Amino acid sequence: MSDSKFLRLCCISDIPDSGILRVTVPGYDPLAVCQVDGAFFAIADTCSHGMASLSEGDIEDGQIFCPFHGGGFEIATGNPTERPCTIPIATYPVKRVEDALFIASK
Amino acid sequence: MERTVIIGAGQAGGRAAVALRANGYGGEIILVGQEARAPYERPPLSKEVLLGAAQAGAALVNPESVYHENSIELRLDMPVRWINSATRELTFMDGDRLGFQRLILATGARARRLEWPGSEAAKPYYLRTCDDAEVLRRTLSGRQGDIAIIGGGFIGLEVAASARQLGWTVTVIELGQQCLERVLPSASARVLVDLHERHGTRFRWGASVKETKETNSRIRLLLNDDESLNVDVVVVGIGSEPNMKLAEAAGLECGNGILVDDQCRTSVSDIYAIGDAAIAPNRWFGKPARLESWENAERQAEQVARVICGLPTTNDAPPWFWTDQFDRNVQIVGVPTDEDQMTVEPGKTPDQYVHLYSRGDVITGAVLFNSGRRRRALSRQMSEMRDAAAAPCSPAESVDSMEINA
Ligand SMILES: Cc1cc2nc3c(=O)[nH]c(=O)nc-3n(C[C@H](O)[C@H](O)[C@H](O)COP(=O)(O)OP(=O)(O)OC[C@H]3O[C@@H](n4cnc5c(N)ncnc54)[C@H](O)[C@@H]3O)c2cc1C
Ligand code: FES
Repeated sequence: MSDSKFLRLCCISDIPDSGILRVTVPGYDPLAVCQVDGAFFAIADTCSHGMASLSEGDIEDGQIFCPFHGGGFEIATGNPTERPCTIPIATYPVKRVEDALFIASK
Repeated sequence: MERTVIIGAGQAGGRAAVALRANGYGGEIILVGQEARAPYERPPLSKEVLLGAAQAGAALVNPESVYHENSIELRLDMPVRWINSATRELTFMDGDRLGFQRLILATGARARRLEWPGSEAAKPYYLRTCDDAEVLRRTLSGRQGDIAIIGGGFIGLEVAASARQLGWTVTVIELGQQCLERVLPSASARVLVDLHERHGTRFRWGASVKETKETNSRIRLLLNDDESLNVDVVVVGIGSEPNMKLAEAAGLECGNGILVDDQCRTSVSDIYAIGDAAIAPNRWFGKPARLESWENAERQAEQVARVICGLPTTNDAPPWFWTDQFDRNVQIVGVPTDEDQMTVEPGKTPDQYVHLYSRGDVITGAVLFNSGRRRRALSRQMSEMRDAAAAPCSPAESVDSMEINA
């Protein structure tokens, strides 16, 4: 896709078994691309509770759990679901074109 | 309109105010605090803030806009002097008065002070508030020297770790023979002490400060074994004391904290207490406990909101506390003790493992090293086991304190 309004995040096959891939694209803070039951999401990679990378965490029941203190967020909405996380993280719509994922450019 | 006043704009107070609205409370909510800042998180103060990685007070309990959006009136920089529980009115330090129908005491705790001959000359630092952290951060940043930390509790060890990372030479002066004796079994505490020693921190066990000698440019601490220690900075971290003077003066029953039942109710109707200031029945300790932990403040805040809104609530998840020191996150779940059987459960990498404590088939507590991801499952498992064993907790018969944050 050559449309400059979108930035390429990754290829679906780039996403490891954990279901999370850390991606950096211009204009965005680091992102975690998540695969949940065949759907794809892009969320902020940095935990809102501290300096931890959510892409090193785990996905369970549509939630992502932080590797540092074990707090969690709902991937679809970014809302905190598990303490000590209390502040939502940013989520962004992801567009799929064939085997690649895109995000709106800023 | 009914009015609920919350005294103490900290972790518990800030959370309770918002939780009241979230549970449908339609009355007036006034959150009163003695500090000039809106509720902020204390955990970063001894860690990221001292290291200069985060600004003091930047981590807020609620985003700033939340108070306005939820019609919560904030009265900051307004210490309360007196509560009249009969007329349901409180008096501020400046003489202003405020009536209430319901009152939540969320006054927290303060750093316990230590005095010794010449202690004023040592100008010891304490760490409880944002301002404390900012002052200490300024002292530690941009130069290096020797620092003595009196007390090997969590705050002491976190300050020790931060100071080491900033290049200071650190000595921890601990009265006991081990760190964190009241809260961690010795095998788990040993891991932390080893970690600090590996980073070059020195521990003086069974030690206390007898006197501060002379003070030209440095501070000379004379210890109980008559050895002396020359340092540039002294930090005292010997635990904390509940802020309960208001409650006592108002005639509320107090022990080592404001006494509440399992619904956060004090001995006076419509007055509640939560967080570090409250001592509540706790099935994990088998007696009332005053927990000084972030999670306890959160849980009790959400609970009191439900109680006031007439919703059913229980609060009997295992206690949980975390600390971060160097590259280690350590979490304590439940009540692990030296009397329990300990097994080590390895994780994915050598620095990830869990000390599992059990009695018979029942897990009583766990200490998680860089294994925060194990907490949810363990906590759930421990609750299920406890429910099955159904050990009822007797109501406030004892007022022994169990300070998590020793
Ligand atoms: C440096 C530090 C690091 C910590 N790290 C961790 C950690 O890593 N993990 C963890 O689980 N816990 C940690 N804790 C503990 C946790 O922060 C506390 O348990 C929590 O803040 C308790 O919340 P609280 O609302 O009861 O008390 P506080 O947050 O202390 O709030 C009480 C508020 O009441 C105000 N107040 C008192 N008296 C009056 C009055 N008369 N009038 C008006 N206002 C009044 C006080 O000024 C204060 O602002 C840490 C604590 C500190 C100090
Ligand atoms: S940094 Fe993510 S839970 Fe604390």
